[in-house]
Amino acid sequence: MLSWLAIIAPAWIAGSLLALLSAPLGCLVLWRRMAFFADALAHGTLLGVGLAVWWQLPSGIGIALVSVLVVFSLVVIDDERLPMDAVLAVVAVTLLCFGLLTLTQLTDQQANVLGFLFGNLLERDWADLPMIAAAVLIGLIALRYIWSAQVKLATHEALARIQGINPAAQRLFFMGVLAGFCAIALQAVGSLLISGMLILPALTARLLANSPNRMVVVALVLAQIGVTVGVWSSVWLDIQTGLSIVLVLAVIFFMTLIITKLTTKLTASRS
Amino acid sequence: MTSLVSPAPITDPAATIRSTNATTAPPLLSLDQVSYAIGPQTLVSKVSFAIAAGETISLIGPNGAGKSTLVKLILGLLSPTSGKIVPEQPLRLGYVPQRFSVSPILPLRVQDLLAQADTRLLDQAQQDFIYDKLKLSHLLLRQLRHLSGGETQRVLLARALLERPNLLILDEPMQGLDPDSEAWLYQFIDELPDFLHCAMLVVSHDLHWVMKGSRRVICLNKHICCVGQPSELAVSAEFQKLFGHNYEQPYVHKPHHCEHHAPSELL
Repeated sequence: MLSWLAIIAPAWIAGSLLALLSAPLGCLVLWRRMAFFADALAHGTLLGVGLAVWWQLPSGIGIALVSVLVVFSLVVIDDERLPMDAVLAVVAVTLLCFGLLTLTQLTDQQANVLGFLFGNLLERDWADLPMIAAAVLIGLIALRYIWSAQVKLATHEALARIQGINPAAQRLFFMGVLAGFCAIALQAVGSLLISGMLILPALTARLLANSPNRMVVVALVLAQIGVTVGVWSSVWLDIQTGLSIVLVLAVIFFMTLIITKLTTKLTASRS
Repeated sequence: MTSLVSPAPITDPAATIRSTNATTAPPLLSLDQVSYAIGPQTLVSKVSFAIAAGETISLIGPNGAGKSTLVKLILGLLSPTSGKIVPEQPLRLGYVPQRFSVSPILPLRVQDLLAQADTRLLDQAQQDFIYDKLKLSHLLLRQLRHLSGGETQRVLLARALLERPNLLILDEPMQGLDPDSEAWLYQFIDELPDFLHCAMLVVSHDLHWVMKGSRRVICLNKHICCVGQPSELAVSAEFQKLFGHNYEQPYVHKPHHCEHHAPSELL
């Protein structure tokens, strides 16, 4: 156990730090109905990394470029005949294809593709932690800054605007935070599973919470459980960390769903 | 239902003083030839009027007359395609929307919504007064989605009043209310205490309430059909042509009575 702890500790800490940001961010993603957008951004990170490796730039720059591309393409595609969720799904798969194409054809990263898709948190070491901690801290400060305006917009856009909140600026700022999160979450859970880590704790928390703040707290707890159990089981079972984290979160979600449904049925039949 | 017939605000001295003040009060907001169109379709056409500080205006008109659009223009949620809306004083807008629903993914209790109001302009006793008058204390922990129409309206009205607006806009505040809560709500806004007194623009279908007070009435059908005090309007030929003599009945608009000054594309 102890010998394992030394190997696992950096990954575990990195995951826990990420979960501090993913939980509140996931709640906002749900409240603002941005789940598909988050998915498109997450898939785009693969292309971002591919381009960065190809052009020998830091991966952050590649991911930022692709995030700008995603927002820009949405503005261009905007057509009232096409539902936004479908457009975002199309953007996501297109980015995934180009990402895979770039990584496998234009770089020598073929061996790491699985890691980019499903995460390789266990490759993190102590030296990576300060960077991750700093990024998470910046993300949390940014979230704190937009939080109340975002909740007001999610409640009622007109009432929020009358209070002087600018929806377009808020949306753009939020997209920026989301893109930043995707960039740091890529190494933990991988491009395909980022949205799972983002949304699952918040979705489960919705079943258990009756106020916005409580939903965030429950999501924080669940995300920490998911990361902890996920990292340990990925070592024991020798599977991708992203895979095991998201699987743990999914199991918690479905169990919570079934239990809450059963208890509401039971209380209804008793009364 | 008794409150609907009993105290007519015209006999209420406070209301009389307020209405006389209103005519001399400085303007709060003026609209100058405001139009709003989407493509070829004109929704609001060349509307001009001013709202004085503390004045209550009722806005009536048929469905599709542009009442809600005009409200959104005044609130700044839409920009006029021509004309301008000039705030003559710093505005603190209060708004009770016609429809309100919170997405089920956001678990929001009544107290969470009320906490979103900026209450800096009211002291604790004044806030308590609003909670008390609107009977909110037993609702605070309820989910907003589970409230009845009347309860939702009370909560929204409280949210607006807690910011101590100087212009309160109610967009068909009585939609979906039973007659008792409707009468209660009209009486409540007629009898706001001094610290909450503000200019009001009330979009209403209820001609009884509109006609019994001394508030200025604006009848909108894309353009302004007629404006005036109820007493003046009721005797004017134009008004009788629009509403008939039996104006205490629910308002039924007769478009062929309202052709004057209408831009040709509307007809």
